[in-house]
Amino acid sequence: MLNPLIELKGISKSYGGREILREVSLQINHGDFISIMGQSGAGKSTLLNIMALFERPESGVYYFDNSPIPKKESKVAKLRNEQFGFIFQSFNLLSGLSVEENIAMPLQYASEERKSPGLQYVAILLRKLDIDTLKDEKIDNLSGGEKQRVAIARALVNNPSIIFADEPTGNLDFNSRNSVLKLLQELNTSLNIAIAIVTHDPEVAGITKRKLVIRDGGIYE
Amino acid sequence: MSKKSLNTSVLARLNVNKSRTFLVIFSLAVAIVCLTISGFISYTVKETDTLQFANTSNNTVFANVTNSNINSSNVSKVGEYFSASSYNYFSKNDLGSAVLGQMSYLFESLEVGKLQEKMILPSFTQYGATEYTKLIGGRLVNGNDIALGRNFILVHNAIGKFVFGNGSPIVGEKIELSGIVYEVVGILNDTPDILRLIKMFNYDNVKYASSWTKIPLIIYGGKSSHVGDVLLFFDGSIKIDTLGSMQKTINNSNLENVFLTTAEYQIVNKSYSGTASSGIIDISLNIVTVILCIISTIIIFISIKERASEIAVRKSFGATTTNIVAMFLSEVVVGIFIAVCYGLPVATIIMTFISHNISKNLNTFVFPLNWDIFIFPIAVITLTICVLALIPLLVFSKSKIVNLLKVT
Repeated sequence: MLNPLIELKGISKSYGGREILREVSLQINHGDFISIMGQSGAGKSTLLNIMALFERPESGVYYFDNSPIPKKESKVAKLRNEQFGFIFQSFNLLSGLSVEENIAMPLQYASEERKSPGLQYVAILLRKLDIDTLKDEKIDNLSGGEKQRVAIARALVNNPSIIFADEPTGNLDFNSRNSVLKLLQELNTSLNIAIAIVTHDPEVAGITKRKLVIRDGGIYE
Repeated sequence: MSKKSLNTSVLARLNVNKSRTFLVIFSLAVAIVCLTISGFISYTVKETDTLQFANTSNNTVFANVTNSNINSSNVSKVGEYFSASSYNYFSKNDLGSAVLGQMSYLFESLEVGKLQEKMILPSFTQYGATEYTKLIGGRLVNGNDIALGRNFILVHNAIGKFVFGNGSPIVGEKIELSGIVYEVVGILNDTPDILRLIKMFNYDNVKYASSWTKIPLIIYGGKSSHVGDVLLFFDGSIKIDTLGSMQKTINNSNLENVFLTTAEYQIVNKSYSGTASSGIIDISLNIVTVILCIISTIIIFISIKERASEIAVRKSFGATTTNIVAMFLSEVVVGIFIAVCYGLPVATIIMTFISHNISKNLNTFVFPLNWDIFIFPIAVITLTICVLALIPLLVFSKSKIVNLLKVT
């Protein structure tokens, strides 16, 4: 049996006395394509934030690649930089930078040995995501679909093991949405990158291999 | 993108472009304010308790200056000077018989295209006058001159050549100042300051000094009535100069008790206590400084808050608190560098305006200012802004990513 990429055991998290996640356990394997659904406030973003190390659970354990999550900030930052990629609903691209600079941004925090291949990979990603003609454009000049492609490229540049996407199609029109979903599917298949998507949209969930639902603090597959 | 471009594109990496307009405006504001203030800061006065002067030739202490009105930026540095806002410092008793003299200055002050009144600005007769001069021709004053009340004058070599021509012996020449004829009896050596200051030009076939150019002449004889202020330059010896704001026309008919000494005077003892409160200037300075600090803090806080999502994104992709703080502080430093580049010319214009239009009413300002005085204020303000920036930076960079994403 393969080691799970992410293993959560008995994770709990409360806000304002309300228990959002109650002893949730979950395994995500290499190359998984997971959707996390649930009603607003059910805790799906909280679960994603915990998996992405944006916040810590109140109880439970979190193993990444069979190792507990380090407590030191610099080690967590290194883990995020080398293993995680992020796609946000509102893109969160840096508007002062060009497309190319945005994609390369995570490399600023990468180790020297990862920087050089990363820089070469930027050009490959630009072509692969069909945004190479936009590489010098400022972010403000892009459409929503183009911005999300840039965000996806940025998430990929460090060759992560898993990409966390929080409502990645929430701000996109129909065509852009389909295009982005197709792209995510391709990336999952061709690069064997695990992807975890939080979504309200059943159609988005429909393309994923595993569908999780959060309800009443628990998680159901 | 090549590795080189990523590594060298500092501005892009710092994301200075994002707030370029803001940065330029902020930079300009900071530059104008801090550079203008820096002029004030540099000349913020310190209260002087005691300055003791002595004649170096015979070690005669001739003046013990104890007066809170002596203002100084830093009298220990060569070339620095301070102003004295009243005339009580050197009395005849202080000077004693060995030290008598007067130095007067002829000001032909002219702004281009605007002829101003010719002014002669002598100091009091009681003032020690040296200009660290040495006699290089002619003679000094003697008792007969004084007894006879002759109008005589000692001029600096460069001025003599300028006024009487290169071929002139200078000594024995006559010079008329405000209707009174003076005979040149001695030539004094030129000082670097004099050579620097003697920039003259022609206007209506009359030679004038350009604005702020000082032409020191030493006038002896007759009667003196000095109304105005003096600056004392300390560079190991005493020089006396007039402050532009104090310029008054001398009435030569009042010249009296004029004596000469060529002795050099040095500060043999000096002590200071505390910083002075020079009235409205200090209060204004403090208020402006506080306002600047408050504005800087607010601007920095807003700037960092506006970029909370950027901090969140960078942290998401592996930036540590140190990375974030370093990036923003680098931007602050780059911003201040830009501020200096933009602001120096603007500050110069402002100060030039002040020097020509306002400073005549301000006792404690001296223009033009030396550029080196800006180094310290800029360094202080840079440091202050960096420290101020640290507070919101640390708050935001240590915040949880999810919270930062909610901020914007």
